[in-house]
Amino acid sequence: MNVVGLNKFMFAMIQLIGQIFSVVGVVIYGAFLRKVEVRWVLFWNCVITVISNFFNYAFAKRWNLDWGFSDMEFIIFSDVITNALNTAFQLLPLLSMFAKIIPKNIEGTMFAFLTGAWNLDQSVLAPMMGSLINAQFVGVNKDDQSGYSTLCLISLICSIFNFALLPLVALRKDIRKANRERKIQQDILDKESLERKAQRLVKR
Amino acid sequence: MCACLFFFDHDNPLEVVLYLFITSLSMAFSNVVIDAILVVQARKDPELGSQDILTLAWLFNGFGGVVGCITAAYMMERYHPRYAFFGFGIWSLIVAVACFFLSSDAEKIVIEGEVLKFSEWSSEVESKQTPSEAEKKRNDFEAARPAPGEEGFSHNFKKNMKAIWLCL
Repeated sequence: MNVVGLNKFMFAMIQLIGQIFSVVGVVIYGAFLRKVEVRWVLFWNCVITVISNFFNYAFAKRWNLDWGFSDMEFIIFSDVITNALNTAFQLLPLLSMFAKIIPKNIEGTMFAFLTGAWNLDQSVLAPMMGSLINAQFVGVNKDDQSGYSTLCLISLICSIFNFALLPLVALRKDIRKANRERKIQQDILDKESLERKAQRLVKR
Repeated sequence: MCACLFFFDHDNPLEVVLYLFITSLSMAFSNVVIDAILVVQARKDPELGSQDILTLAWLFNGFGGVVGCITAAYMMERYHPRYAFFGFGIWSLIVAVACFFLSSDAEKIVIEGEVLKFSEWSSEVESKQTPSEAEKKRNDFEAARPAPGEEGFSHNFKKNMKAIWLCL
């Protein structure tokens, strides 16, 4: 922030624009992506993440000035717009898919587990891993920030590994099939329970 | 708890951290309940219910965030930061009052007496219906639909605009 001359007000404005663009992201998802297969949406999210991390690397190397973009233009493009795209391509598809696969009666527990794991990842594990990599291999600190671009490069390389996780994402037909099987099993269990109840009543 | 930050002076940052911790804890309680209700209600339409309801919820969440950001920035500029916490406390109180109107019907997918419409995207298997019968019913429903581009808001809007243009 000090190098590119951002003050607190500008930083707050970027946050506000980020909020506005997250609304735009929700609208994009609702209008265009809600019927698309989640695995495809997440594939495009991986592509966006790689591009976004490349722009972060370019920003760290100050290539944006060579390309003719000022720092502010570049931050708004790379940070704020990707925020909107992440909402549309990552957050909402994952939440909606999770809402579909949660079994009955444990909705609150499972969603709490999801958001808890998410927050743990975002606010504890990710910074911890970043600090570990920085401390072990790069060594960026308050006085020496010359290795910041190396951290951005590591982030860019790590984001490519996201593609390997895509086959684990369930397709819509798999979810539908699993839900049907679960419902049929539940019906059988309910039927058996009613039969047992009837038998107990007959015995009495 | 956040209102405590408005009413009392705090010199120790640890107290503020403690208040914010308890505030986050209380928000987590309500978030779990809200998420559970959203998931239960999303089951009314097994195919697109979760997408629609989460889109709506996050849309209002986003609007609230934008309005909150602007309001908080205005208050920070004009008044002491403690008024922002006072506002937060008032909103929490409104949520607490609203909770008293939350009935157990919100946790049910179908309320007694309510007849669910068969959705065009529904993948559910109704009672006394085999999966193949449900598939056939869905296919019949799909076949009876108008051709792509001949229904919905955009199509109706264009049709209405054309009618108005002809009248003019």
